[in-house]
Amino acid sequence: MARDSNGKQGMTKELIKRVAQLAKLDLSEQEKTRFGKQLAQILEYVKKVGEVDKTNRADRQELINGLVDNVRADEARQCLGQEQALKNAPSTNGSYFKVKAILE
Amino acid sequence: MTIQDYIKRVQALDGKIHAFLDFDEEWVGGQEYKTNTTNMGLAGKPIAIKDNMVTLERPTTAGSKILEGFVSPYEATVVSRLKQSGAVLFGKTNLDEFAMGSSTENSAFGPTKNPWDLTRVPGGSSGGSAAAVAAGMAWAALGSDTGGSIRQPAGFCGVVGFKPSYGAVSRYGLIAMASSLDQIGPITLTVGDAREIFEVIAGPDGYDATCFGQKTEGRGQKTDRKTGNGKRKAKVGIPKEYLGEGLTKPVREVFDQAVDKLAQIADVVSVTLPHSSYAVASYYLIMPVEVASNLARFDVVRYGKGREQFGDEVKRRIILGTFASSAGYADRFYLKGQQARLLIKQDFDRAYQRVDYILSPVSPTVAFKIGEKTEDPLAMYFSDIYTIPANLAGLPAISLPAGLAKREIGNGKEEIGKEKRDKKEERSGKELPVGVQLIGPQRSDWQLLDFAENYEKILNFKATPFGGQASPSF
Repeated sequence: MARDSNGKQGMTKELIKRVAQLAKLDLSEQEKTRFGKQLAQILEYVKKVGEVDKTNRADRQELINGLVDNVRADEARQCLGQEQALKNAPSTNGSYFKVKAILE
Repeated sequence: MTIQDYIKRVQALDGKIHAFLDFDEEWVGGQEYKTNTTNMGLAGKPIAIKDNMVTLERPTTAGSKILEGFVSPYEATVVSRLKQSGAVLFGKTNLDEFAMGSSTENSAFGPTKNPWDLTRVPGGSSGGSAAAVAAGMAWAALGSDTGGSIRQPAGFCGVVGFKPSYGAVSRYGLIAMASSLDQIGPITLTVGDAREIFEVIAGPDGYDATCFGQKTEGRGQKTDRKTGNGKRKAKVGIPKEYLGEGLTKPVREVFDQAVDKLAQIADVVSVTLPHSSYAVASYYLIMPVEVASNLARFDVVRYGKGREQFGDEVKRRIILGTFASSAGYADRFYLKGQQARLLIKQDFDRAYQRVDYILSPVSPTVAFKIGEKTEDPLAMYFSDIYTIPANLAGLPAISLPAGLAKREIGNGKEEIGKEKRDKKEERSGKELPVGVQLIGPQRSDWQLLDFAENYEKILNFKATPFGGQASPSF
């Protein structure tokens, strides 16, 4: 991370732009500036977890509630019908969701 | 009170409080419940639903412009179960957008006011639910809790808020915020009411693979968890790390009195949770990563409006989470956050070898003024310093109203993050509620509720928001 004029580590405009792109968020210039400052402050605080010296991988199973491989039989069950699934779609074509073309 | 009485109360009060995002009088007034089925435990009781739980009959917005007008094609498990038990689904309540916040100020549809003082926040993110119950506009409400969003608003509004163990209640139909932390729970006037609701909503439903056991797992089981009734007194630990600088004087005074009362039914000892200081940092790394992932579904394909309509806090957390999990940064941030989380959970495991439950304040302050913390996200995050650990460790926790703060007193300088902030001396004529929190080991929900009920009797909190009047003068 770059340092801004105050010497504090900041999220540069470039970094925010890149992350926002990954997150599919279209930010205005004003938002990039404002969030940059706020996120710099937050990151400055949360990076204290770096002090934690545990090197082994966190055991996800233990972290949750001890459940392991909680699966059910692979059986077809009743699920949402087509009409219901399409009901809130901004754009449909017959029984399809319509989206912007990905390929030419 | 009849349903009509509650409806009249909403009509009279909610114009000022704004606890409800949706209150359709035909829907709430027209629900019939069959009285000829066996599971009618909540027959006729009006229960408000936080607007991040999907309902069939009315829209679900999650407090966001993105979902304005969205009517879900399916219903949350907790909603179905309430229906089956005869409860009346009593409106959808206001929340911070996508449950992200500690004050309900992040709602895209305006904040909710604290019934005890309309210039103050009700807490968040379940602020609408807590305010509705505190103002007598519903018999009870459902909330959701990821970092404190049931317990903190319950504390600010002087009501009971229960966050079950992670996995006790199905999250099917809860619009996901952070999937390893979210849990649904009741906000009520009494612990007994919370237990009644928990009994109805708890248990696996076949749709949430993180749900454990039988519906009533742990209930009536002979465990060595004491409820305060048995021959051996319960042992309660107070984490010494929680009593530091950040805890403001008004809360500390009420907390100390609550500890004295607790000593009547339990042995109170000091415990240590050495990694407590990493809890907020760990949470604000893990949660945003899960948020960024969960909110990727809002892509305008199956539902919803464009992502530019997310509010600031939502955007901040998505960016933070995307960053913290991205190549080159994930090891330093997200992975370390998970390691800290495991250490925090192990701290609790060790403590529970010595004590049955842990007692702590719910929030370092009483309800703050609307607008007081909105410019400073990090300061807002510290509202959850005592509630976050229970989410990280998946533990059941309940907030009980313990007393009133005589007045807001300046605490001199207090350190938040790296900057010292001056706490202004504020004299408030209004007394504000202070909650205390009991935390139990994982899956000790029933024992925790029983013990909390005994404690509730001794705390004997009888105050109401309207200065002893049944209704406010506003």
